[in-house]
Amino acid sequence: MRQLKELLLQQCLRDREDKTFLKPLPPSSCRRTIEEFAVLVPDPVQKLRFLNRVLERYRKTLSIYKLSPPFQETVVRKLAMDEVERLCPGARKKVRKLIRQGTISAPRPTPWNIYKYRHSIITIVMAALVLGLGTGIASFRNIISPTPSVTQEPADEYAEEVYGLAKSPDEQYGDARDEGNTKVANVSPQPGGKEAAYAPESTDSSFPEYIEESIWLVEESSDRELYSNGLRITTTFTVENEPRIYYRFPIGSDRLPTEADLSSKIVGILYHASESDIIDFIPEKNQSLKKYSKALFKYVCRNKFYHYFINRFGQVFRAVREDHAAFHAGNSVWADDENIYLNLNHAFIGICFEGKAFEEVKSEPGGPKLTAMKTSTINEAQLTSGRELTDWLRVKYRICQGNCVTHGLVSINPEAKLIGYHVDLAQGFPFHRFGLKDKSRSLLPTITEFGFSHDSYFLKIFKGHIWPGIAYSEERLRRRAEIANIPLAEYRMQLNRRFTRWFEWQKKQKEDQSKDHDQICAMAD
Amino acid sequence: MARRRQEKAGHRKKEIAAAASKILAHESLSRGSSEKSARLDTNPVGVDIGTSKIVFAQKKHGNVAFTSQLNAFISVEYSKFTESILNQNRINHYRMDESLIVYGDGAEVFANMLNTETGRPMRHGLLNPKESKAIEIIKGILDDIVAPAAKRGTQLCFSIPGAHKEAESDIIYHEAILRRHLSNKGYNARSINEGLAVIFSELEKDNFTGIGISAGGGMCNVCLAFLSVPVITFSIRKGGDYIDDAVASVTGEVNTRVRAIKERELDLTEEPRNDIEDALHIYYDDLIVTLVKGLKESLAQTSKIPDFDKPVPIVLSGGAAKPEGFEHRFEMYLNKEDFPIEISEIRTASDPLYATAKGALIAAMFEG
Repeated sequence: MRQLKELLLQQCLRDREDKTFLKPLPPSSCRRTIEEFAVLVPDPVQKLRFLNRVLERYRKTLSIYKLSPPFQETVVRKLAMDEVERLCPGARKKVRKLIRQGTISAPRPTPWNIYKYRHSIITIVMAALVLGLGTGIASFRNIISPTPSVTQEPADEYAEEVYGLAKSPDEQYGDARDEGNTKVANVSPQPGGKEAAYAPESTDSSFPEYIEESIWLVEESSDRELYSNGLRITTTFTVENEPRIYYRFPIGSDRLPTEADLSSKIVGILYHASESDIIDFIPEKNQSLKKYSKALFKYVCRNKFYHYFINRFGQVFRAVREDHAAFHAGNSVWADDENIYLNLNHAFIGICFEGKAFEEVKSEPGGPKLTAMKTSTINEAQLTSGRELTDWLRVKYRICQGNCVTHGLVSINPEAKLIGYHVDLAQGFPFHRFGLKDKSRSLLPTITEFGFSHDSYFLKIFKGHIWPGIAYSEERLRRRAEIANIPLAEYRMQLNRRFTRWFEWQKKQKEDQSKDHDQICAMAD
Repeated sequence: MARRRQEKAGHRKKEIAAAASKILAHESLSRGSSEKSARLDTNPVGVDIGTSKIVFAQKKHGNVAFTSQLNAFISVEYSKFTESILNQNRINHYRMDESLIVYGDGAEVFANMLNTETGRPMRHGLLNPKESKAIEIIKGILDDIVAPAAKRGTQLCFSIPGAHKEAESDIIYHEAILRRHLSNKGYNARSINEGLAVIFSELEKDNFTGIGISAGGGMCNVCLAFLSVPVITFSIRKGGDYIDDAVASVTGEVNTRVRAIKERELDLTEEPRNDIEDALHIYYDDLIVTLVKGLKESLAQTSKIPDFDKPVPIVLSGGAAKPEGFEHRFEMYLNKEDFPIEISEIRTASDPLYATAKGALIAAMFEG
């Protein structure tokens, strides 16, 4: 009993020492940096972790890195950046943005660069030393016969530690290839494996965010437009709908949008497949192909379904004028680094390819009525026109590649909180042919921001071969729940609730807008 | 004669039964729907062990749920009837020789009914050395409020007062006793300074930089922290109880009535309306002046004050900081002093009674 009491007393004293007063604090300029980065950590517990980890790691940093204030600040910046990224994956992007906005002070260039490339510098210096030493020893051996041994410099523990942590992922909705995600990277991206329609792309690194070259209008007549990249658009049947106007939901915030978030800007492109009946693409069926295509386009225009329609011969038709919304996206969600977009009719341009990637099947009751086809019917002519149209739209509206996505990846069932309500072009779409990163490997905001999931019916449609982005997003969701110290199911529920709140709010805004519109029309009458 | 005795006994029984039902109603209100069994989970726990109240905090379904019990007791004469009433109404008690010790929220209701004073197992923020039953009663209240950990090693943080020149060794003893009891319940128990807990709870937006003051029943605890690292902690041995005792002494009123006036009617922004309020104003001023001077002296004495490049906030919490106008008076006295660091704002915690428990919970979640 007495021993226990003594042990407890000792533990109390030890704790007291741990907690208070003994930790040396970094200088004031470094503190400012820590505080600036702390803004990015919203949760109090996480913020506490962030501060303690940064201070602890700063304390353990070798004194050599703390010799002068600029270096101290640089070290703290690096530590803060690492920790904020660890606690809030994807924060690096935000940091860069905040630096541009001036909220976070910019790093001092010289010390930052030296610190950033310290491993290379250390390696070069060590290599030079070893080389010099080796040369010296060799020369020495030439003079004196005994052979001295060469000892290696001790490794810099801190450098190793930081080096290990420096391999942080680049996390955004355009790219989900990070450490955690590699665990699930063996999920097949293609339905039907090797028989899938398009060859998988080898790398995403060659796709710039924006197209900088100009594409201009070469010729324009009453029914045609010709552009410098070869794009030809038939404009004869263009119809009007309702002008674009929509709310952007700021990412990383729970607040509802304000008037400042109202926009009419085109921010993305959504690709669709008509999923209509398909006639064999052979010369003998030429008349039928033309006739069917014409009828389909008329139907599209009548219902104002898409902005552009590309038939099987690769001809591009404008259906709904670009500055108006088209009814193409339905209930859908996508996000970029700044905003979440709910129901994309107003924010995105809809391009429809006449074609089919799914076929109807007869199955037992409750089973799927659709299944993915082994090969898509979208052909080379359509791909070429699609690329031209995409390039021109991206240049005209400065659309980033991250916001060019297919309908199947964004469509949702808002009541059941399920993804994949529509599945057109959900898999196997050749993004690389459009100069775009493969979005089937990207994080899905429907899952990461709103906690949506998929059901067994969805799995059956794809015969279990769901695209990797789903697994990445689920993994990200799990990690965020872990960081927030909340069970995954509860975290998902919280996100679901946020979606419902936003969705209902947007619906109400839309209804109010319609009422106002009706009243104005009535007054005009 | 016998008939009069019977009548008296009958009256006493009625009093006890009425007190029991009142306590039951009060407890069901304060606990809400949270049952002990519901608390059997592995979420970290924060406990504020104050001189007048013990508050339990735990995160439930994304929100922080609080449960509290009065840290007081009363001894009543043993009778089978009284014991059965207490048992029937599940009022915390135990038998000691020919007495029944009623503790927790029930104690005050009994004290009011029987027109007597409650005893305190703690004094000046620490176990009361003059009270032989102190440890038993604290354990009893803790057992009632903190269920055993569902998983061994569940993180728990409990509050302890700040250092005081006269009571350093007492704090160590107090902390060790509480830690042992909570560890025996399966928790990985760690202590946190009350002032620091207030900072964790209220100064998140300031990156846990500022001064946290917990003005409780037994003492006032102060902590100055920088980026969550405590720089100075100290305490003064004056609190709500000091005010109650002093006012009761000079006005000839009982403490319970003084406390009732203090908690329900006192407004320090208005002129006092009677002798009790006048005395309350005087002793509140005394408390605040002692606190401000203590803070100033501590800052002046230490050489470890970091170089604050911007003003820091002060946050006030605890039962003694609840009366209307406390914040204003504190600011007034602070402005009179030449303070060594610049203060950005003085504000009262969003929920002064639960701020320490919430801060302890944040610390437990951080440790966990």
